[in-house]
Amino acid sequence: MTLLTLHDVSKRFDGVTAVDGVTFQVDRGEVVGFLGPNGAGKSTTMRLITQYYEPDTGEIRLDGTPLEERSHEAKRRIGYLPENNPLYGDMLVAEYLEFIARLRDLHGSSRRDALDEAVDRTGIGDVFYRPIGDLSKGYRQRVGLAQAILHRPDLLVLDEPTEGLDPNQRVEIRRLIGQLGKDRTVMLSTHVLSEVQHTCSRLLIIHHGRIAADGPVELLTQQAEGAVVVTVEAAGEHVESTAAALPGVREITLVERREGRLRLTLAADGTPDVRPVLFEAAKSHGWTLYELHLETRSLEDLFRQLTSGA
Amino acid sequence: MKTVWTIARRELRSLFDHPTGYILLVVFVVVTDFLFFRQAYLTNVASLRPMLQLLPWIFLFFVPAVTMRALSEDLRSGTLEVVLAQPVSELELVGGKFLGQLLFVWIALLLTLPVAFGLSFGADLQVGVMVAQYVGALLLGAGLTGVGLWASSITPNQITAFIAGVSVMFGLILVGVDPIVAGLPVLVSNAVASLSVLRHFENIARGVIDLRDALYFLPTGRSWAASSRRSGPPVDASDSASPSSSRSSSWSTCSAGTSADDST
Repeated sequence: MTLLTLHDVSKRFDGVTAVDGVTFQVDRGEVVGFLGPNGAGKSTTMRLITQYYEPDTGEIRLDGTPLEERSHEAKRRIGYLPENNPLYGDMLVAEYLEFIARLRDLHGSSRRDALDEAVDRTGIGDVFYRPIGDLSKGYRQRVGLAQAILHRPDLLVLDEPTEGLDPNQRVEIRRLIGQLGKDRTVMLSTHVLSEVQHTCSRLLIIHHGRIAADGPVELLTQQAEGAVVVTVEAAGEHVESTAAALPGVREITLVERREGRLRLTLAADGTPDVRPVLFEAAKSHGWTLYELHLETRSLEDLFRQLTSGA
Repeated sequence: MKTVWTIARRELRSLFDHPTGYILLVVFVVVTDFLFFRQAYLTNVASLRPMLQLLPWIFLFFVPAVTMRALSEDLRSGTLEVVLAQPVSELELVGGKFLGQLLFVWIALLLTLPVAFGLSFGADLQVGVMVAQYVGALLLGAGLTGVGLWASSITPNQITAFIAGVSVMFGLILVGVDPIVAGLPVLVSNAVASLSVLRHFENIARGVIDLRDALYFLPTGRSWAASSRRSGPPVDASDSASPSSSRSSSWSTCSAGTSADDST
């Protein structure tokens, strides 16, 4: 069941294209990790989803209804933790959540229940009557999360929820998000890769405002790990064309050519191993083999490959 | 409407959460009372007029000092994003902010009431005049609060908001000052003077509420406040893909016509 659909969404600011023709869908119950380097368009995309910005072109639908058609209805179903977790520092936690609950149109016993549940799930009972400005960063983050889940939204949009936390707090917040993701759809942005592997079921990589990769975390990890890069340095006839035609070789790049030697990198499937095939080819064509080196790739390499350069 | 009230309450509370709020109130009351008593003892005339005549000039600094935080603080800290992610329209947000700030300004005005009451013990004060004077002062507060809120919406910097507020209010007061009006052709000077805060407030300070003057302040406040609504969402400087300079420009700076409603 598709909950959120972005279709060809673009947003420009003063000649800079922040989001450029982004199309993706989020299914109900998914925990989507939104990954990208700084300035890739993560926050802008999230602000488009939460209606802080309006898209220049394209359409965003929640449950099949365009956002602008039922703006308030959509806001009622989305919980949002903006980047840097802005809070009213001079208010008490209790006052702040009460204020949000009123804006959320929660009254009487339903307000009390919602507050109790949010406080309980985020574990901020101890600091409920303390000024937000006095809280530690970890607690502030929890208050921000409590604000986002107060109205029991279907979709939770979290913009870098673990940014600026120490490793222990990160683990805690990550665990909390994991729990919250059990009964709702979560979209969280980050540039910490390990976080995605731990908490998300699906991965979206965005770069220069475009979606660079989209798929289940396992699949992308598998792809990333399954693919190997083999460096070959050899001298002989038709090395490049022969190597390119070998089974399992996906892509071939010439690194350098020097004194009759060719240095190539091959992107190839991890299984079966491409090295024996290369060795046999070298034997039968009478090449002199100087180097044959295999590197396995990780999610980090995939990320770097997709998001570095132009 | 409930949303507007929720925001207004938070706004008012946050003004009282800081010592600044109390300091502002004390300074305002002390200055207005001083101006009153100085005149009263000097001339031996029991009238609120000397106090109220200078009210636009005191408000010139008092109101922007109150309103400068209203929207600029939300812009700076990003809490605007949280509030607008709730089912709240921009007009409701601005309406709530306006109401909250206005209530604070009105509380300040009401704190000067003891002077009026004290006066009524010692002198034979015309109640009608006094009521009219206070109604007028409240209207003046509403008009200038609108301007202050608008100033606060154009920048995430409070000091800039304060200066912008003072400048615009000074302009609105100044266009009615005689030397300026006298130098202009009659037709233009009439039009310019009708834009002025001072012209409209002069009558009110005397205790005469002309419908035209009342109708000046209400839409003035409302339309200035409404013009602080965003024409497009602000751009966040933290998003490196979007230059920060466009943030302030995307807030509408249209100075809604203050004279259009004045011709009644």
